[in-house]
Amino acid sequence: MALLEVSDIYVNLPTEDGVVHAVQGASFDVERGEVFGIVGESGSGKSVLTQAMTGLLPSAQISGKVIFDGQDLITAEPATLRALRGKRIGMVFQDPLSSLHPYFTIGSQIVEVIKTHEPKTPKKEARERAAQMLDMVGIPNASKRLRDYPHQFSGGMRQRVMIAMALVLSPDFIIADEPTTALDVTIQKQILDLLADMRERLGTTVIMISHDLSLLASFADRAMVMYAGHQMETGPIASLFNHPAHPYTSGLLRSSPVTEETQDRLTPIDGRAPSLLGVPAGCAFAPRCADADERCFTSRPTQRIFDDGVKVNCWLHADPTLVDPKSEVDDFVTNAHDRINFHTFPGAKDQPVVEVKDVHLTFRAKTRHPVHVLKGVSLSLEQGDTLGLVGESGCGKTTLARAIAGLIPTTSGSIKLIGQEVGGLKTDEWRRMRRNVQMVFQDPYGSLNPRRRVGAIIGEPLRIQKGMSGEDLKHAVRELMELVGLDPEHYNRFPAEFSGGQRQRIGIARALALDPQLLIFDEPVSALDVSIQAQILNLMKDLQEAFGYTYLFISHDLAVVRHVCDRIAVMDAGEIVETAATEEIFANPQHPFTKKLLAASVHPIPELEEPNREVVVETPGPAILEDAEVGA
Amino acid sequence: MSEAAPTVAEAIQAPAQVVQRSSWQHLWYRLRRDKASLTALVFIALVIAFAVCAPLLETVTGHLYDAQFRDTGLTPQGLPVGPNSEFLLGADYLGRDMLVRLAYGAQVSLLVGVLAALIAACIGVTVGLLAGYFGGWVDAVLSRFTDFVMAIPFLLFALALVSVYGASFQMCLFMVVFFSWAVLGRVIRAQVRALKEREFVEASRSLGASTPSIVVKDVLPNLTEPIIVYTTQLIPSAIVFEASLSFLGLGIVPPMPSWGQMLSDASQNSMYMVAPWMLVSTGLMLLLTTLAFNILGDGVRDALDPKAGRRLLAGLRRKQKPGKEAAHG
Amino acid sequence: MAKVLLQRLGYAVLILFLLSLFIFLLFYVAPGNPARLIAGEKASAEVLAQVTHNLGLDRPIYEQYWRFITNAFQGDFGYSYRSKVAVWALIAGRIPATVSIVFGAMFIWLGIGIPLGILSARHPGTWRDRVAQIIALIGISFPTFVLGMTLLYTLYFMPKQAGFTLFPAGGYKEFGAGLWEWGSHLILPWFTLALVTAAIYQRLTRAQLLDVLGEDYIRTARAKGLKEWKVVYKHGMRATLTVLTTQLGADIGYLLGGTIIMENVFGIQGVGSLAINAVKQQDRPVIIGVVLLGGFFIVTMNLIVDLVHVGLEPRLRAK
Repeated sequence: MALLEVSDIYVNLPTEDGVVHAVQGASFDVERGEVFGIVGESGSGKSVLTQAMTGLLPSAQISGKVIFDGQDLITAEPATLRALRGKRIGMVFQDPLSSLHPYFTIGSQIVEVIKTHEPKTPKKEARERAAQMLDMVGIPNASKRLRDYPHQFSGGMRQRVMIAMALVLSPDFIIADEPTTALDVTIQKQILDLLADMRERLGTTVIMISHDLSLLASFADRAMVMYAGHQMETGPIASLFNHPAHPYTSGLLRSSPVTEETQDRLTPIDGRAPSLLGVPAGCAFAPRCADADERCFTSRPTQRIFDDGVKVNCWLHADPTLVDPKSEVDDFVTNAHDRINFHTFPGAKDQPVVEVKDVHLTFRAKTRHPVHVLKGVSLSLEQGDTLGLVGESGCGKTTLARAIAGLIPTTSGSIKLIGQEVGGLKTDEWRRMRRNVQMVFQDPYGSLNPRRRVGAIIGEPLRIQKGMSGEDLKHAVRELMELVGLDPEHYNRFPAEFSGGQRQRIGIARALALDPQLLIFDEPVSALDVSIQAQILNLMKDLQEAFGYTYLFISHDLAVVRHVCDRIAVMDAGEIVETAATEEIFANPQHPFTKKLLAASVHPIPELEEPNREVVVETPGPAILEDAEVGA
Repeated sequence: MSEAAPTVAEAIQAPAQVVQRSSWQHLWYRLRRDKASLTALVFIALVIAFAVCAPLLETVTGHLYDAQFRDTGLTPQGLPVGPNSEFLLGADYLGRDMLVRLAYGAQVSLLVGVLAALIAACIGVTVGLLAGYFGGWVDAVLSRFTDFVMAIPFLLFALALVSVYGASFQMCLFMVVFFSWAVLGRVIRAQVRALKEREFVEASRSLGASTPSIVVKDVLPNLTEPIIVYTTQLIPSAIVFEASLSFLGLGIVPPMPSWGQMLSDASQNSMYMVAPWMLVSTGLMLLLTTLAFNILGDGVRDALDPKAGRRLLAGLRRKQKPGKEAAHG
Repeated sequence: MAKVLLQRLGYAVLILFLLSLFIFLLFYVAPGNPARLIAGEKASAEVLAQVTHNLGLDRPIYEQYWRFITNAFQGDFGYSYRSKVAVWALIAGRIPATVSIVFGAMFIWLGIGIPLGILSARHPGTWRDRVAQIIALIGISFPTFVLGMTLLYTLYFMPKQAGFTLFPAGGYKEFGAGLWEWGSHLILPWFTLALVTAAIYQRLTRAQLLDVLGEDYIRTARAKGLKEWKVVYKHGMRATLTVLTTQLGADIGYLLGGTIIMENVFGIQGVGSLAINAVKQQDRPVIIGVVLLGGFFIVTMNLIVDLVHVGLEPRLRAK
């Protein structure tokens, strides 16, 4: 019998704006000892599902059955659930810093778990067990560090502490909710290895929640793909990767920069995720599905189970169609536009667009020791180059970008833009220089002023730099909006009325307004869902091909950079350790750090032969429940 | 590193067709559904009408606010008469009509409350904006000054000021303003410092926008909500502050009536023990007015709370800055 | 950390210095000659000059200030113009009454405000929350003197008319007069001050705790299987202490400078009533002394709060 049997679970979250239909009829089993992955983009309901079934969302309305070791968790008393949590069900959350209590030592936080469920344990023994567990998850000097507070640990170490806390009573299974998302790539790898190791040694069953399908490739045995609260496809991980049966699974794989292992364009999934306030009559994915027909919109798909164990909720009986990626920049726009003259940037051909030589930057805070952020960085970009600058958090890549954009002064060294040294520029001259350098920021929510209309945001550079106003300005802004794939009719809207991907397009339109020679992208897609990421990456690529901009693309993710850049510079601890052509870096990395980074960001995908699979059963999919029926 | 961080909150805000309203539209949209705030608003409107009608009441009753009716307003023993057909709310210890005085007192309370709150808000916003945006020595000087104002025992200091310059309406207004802006100044400073780090400010800088343009277009519009919330909350505390000063004889100078002063009259020689209407009508009026403003203040805060819209009905989160809510002591 | 505390101490001294300068200048530029007040309306020019000289008022302002500040450092705030008693002695005689009011009331307001706040935060949106919030709203809206007079009327005067005594009318009985005497005279002032202040603590506790209960580490505590009361009282309340102690320090510091209105309503001879009388009599040295003392209490309590925070916050301790 499976350790966990979930059938037909619905979770509704009442909010002021209406009922959020977070989970719509998911069913799955988790076998003892396996790693079961739940994959979905934001809003897919994956976290809500696991938190609701363990009783961590008291306000949620839940229907269905969750049988854990013969006991239904949905109908269980709060006290019963409490006795299970910590003792038989451990949990690890995304952000270890905010998930550990800042005012208690980690020792006391772990001991608390033991004392809660085994109150007779002597304090000393409990502390010893805590120290043993910390030692096991790889915390050096474990018994001494019991007395330390969470802030005294690094991010990765904190997550180890969380894992130790979840495992200290050897629970039957642990739910790991995006345990690596808040961590650097190389640390992510260590945590995944640790989880795998623990599972081996303690025989723990793991439910791993992730937004990243590729992360599960080498880790999970089986996985469930969720979209907008609906279960799409469930099955062995190798089958999901090699023969996706659901168009959404297929779309996710093709839009993920990690699984698409070439420099080619990615194939994004068109459109955007639906609101969860409404309940679709048919398939939730239908509006974004290339193969959708009328039936998909009007009635809920049936569920088919194949003989290889794959379960898929879809009306389509054929394999998903592979659509070609469409161009993000309309031919009409590129041609009709007077931007055709772009290639003649002033005096650009004979000299590098950017030349950074031996730049140092040291922050001197009043009370602390000086921090050397940049330690002699040099790089140069020719007209039309795309350089990816890759490194982990705190390596100085963003600082370098801001220094080049003239937003922070350097301590020493020289930065030349189009042959002109920027260090000595006066305020006025810098203002003019800004026409040549523009930045696109990481956070599509934070980089647009929520109180200004989109038209004003995109038009701002034209107003400041070219003194445009009135109809001229409006015309220019509408053209820009069309160029980046926004509806020009949305001129008068506020940023909050757009989705994440659209907001990033607004940011790009603003940066393009002045036709700058150099565009600096600071992690432009890292806050976006995978299916949207690909849209933005393709847009960047198309714009560059059409107009010959020079790009400096900053990212923590080698895989993302690969699809846009010709060359990659790897940065570590304030220095550029390696610069080479993109395929060169992937094929033949030189520097140890590059190798480490590469090893951490590539997840081998399990191979599988072409199956000759057949449908075993076909049943009606989950029903549509009225709000009143959920949790009644 | 910030990959997509899917949380419950995010699940809920998953792109719906949202239409952004301005702060004021938003405020009205939400207040309309809040019965307590609406009641408070209606009550405040009534108090305003009452204050405006003061001269009318004077005419109708034929009682000037400072006229002493020693024959009809006082008993033969020299005690004030209670509510009757001539003095609807009774008379005070000099035989003056409480109703008329209450109406004139409402003028003073509302005037001082609203005016002081507005002036204090302007000062607080200016100081907070300058200190927060420019940092460095500007911040050091302004922040120390704010600390300084907050370290002054304000009632004691008011005593000292009045002992030197004497009480007057202007003095009273000055003191209320002087001791009210500091909390707002601190809040705004903190907000501005946070806003300054936001990427859209950096984006404006990278476009070559000038500092005044950034302050006016990027920073200030994002402060509308805390400014509305705190200004609304300043009004009741300014009203209580004025009443306290007048109660101690440091605020509004007779013969101009104010509620605090009328209560002071009531407490003189424990007059209210024999003439409780002197306490009840004025005290109740003062209490209900501040209560109404406080309810409205809460309503405004809840309505403009950016988290409120996405809040789960239970397990909600809410931010409120600590701070003195009313002058007490 | 020591550096930060030293910096805070520096600020505290700076603020007291500014306050002394401010109040000194205020009186210096004030109209009216204090010597005239002391010497009397009918004093001759010579007497007036003599008094002016004795008070040191004929010297340059910086010299006057210097003398004032150096004396103040030695605890000498001069003598009352009226009673000729040393200012510090006058104040010292009044402090027990004020301290009794403040600390007695403190226990009551903490005992009412914080539990009500927790009740609200644990059941947000329910009728219990609403009742607690309405009580708190009325509390913060009640001007202290109105509440004080109301309590006096209903709990002292009305019973008295009915023929029995529930509470004494007011006044202050020294602790030496016996615990009952002392306490029964203070009960009404205590409750008046406490009810008004408790409302602030209810609102503060509610807001803070609601915030904390939404934190990730509270979810972790629940995920560990802790009982709900432990989640709220141990993990939740622990995180609200910083804010609550800040508010408490500010309130105590401010109130110790004189519970002026309370003393006025209940006829208690504390620091506040000393200040009121000094103003009525234009007794400048006393006014200056009381204001500086008030500032001193506020600044000192802020410092104590800083120290307490170092104990409460591991992050601060580490630095």
